[in-house]
Amino acid sequence: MKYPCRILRTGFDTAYFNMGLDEAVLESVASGSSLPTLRFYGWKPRAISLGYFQGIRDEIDVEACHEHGVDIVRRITGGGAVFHDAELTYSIVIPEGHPLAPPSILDSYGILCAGIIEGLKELGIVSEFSPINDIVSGGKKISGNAQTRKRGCLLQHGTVLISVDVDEMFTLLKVPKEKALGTMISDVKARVTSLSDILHSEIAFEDVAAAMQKGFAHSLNLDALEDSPTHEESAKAKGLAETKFSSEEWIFKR
Amino acid sequence: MKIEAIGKPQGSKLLRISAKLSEPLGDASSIESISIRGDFFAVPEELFEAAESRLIGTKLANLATVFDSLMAEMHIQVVGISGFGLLSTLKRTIDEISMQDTANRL
Repeated sequence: MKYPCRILRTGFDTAYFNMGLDEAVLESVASGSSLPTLRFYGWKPRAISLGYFQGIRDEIDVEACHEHGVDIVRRITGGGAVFHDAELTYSIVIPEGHPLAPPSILDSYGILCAGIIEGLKELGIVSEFSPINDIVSGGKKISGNAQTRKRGCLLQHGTVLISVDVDEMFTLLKVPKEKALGTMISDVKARVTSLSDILHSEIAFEDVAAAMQKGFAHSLNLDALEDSPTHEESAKAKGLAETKFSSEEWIFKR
Repeated sequence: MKIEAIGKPQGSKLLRISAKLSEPLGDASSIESISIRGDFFAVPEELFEAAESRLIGTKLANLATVFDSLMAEMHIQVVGISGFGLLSTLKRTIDEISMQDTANRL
């Protein structure tokens, strides 16, 4: 049996709108007004998203972000800080109780991350799930993922690195003090890879999105229906961007 | 005494804890305030924040059990954090403080 799923390819937006649209889609799927939804998007301007439980000053050099023109947003999901530069982000929203959304967070990471692994295979890249929430290729992280459950729905979002400037990444992200000495910094940098690193060539955002869409559809057995966000979702996302995700109260809450 | 602890115990994500503990520091210390940060997952997130405040008054010796019981009682699903992880992160910092105190006295 195939699972009906709406596909949204919403292009590039601000960090605040992107997080607003993920939440707005979650609400519309929860209310039953939209099908389970898989969305692909990018970030403009570049941004760092912070996990729900992370302390902003612990993890991010806020002043350096301002100097580099990098926005900062806090996610509604846990997990770690992510530098959204040359990468593809996806989000998937599924009602709890759906076969693709088992009660265990760990189990559902395994199921949903299979979509990315299959998408990477479309690009000729072998990768594997690395619990709790990463995907690695050749032992190096190429995708990080984060999940929450709200209003009876699962929301998981994550990234696939297209290319990465690790020096800039670690200028903006603070490496924990205990990792800052000696060789551990190099280890952290060496643990990250990207599509460009692996393929030794540039790859376009749209091509990565197409591969991931195929990968998710195949591995999750989706009956994919390409669509656009509803007027209500877009309006809700705009409102959340303005009142929640761009507010200092939300961003600096920890 | 205010403590800033950071650690990645086995089975945990990176944990950062800011806590105020009653003195003298040890198993009998009570938690007077606590903020737990890191890249762990706890669902629902808002309930975790409520659970965090319910740790106030807990003796350090009971922290692991109380934390795990609270998560179960409040139906909070956690990944990458546990009572053991919290306790071992705090204890390591307390041990470092004790060693530093001893060294200062010598």
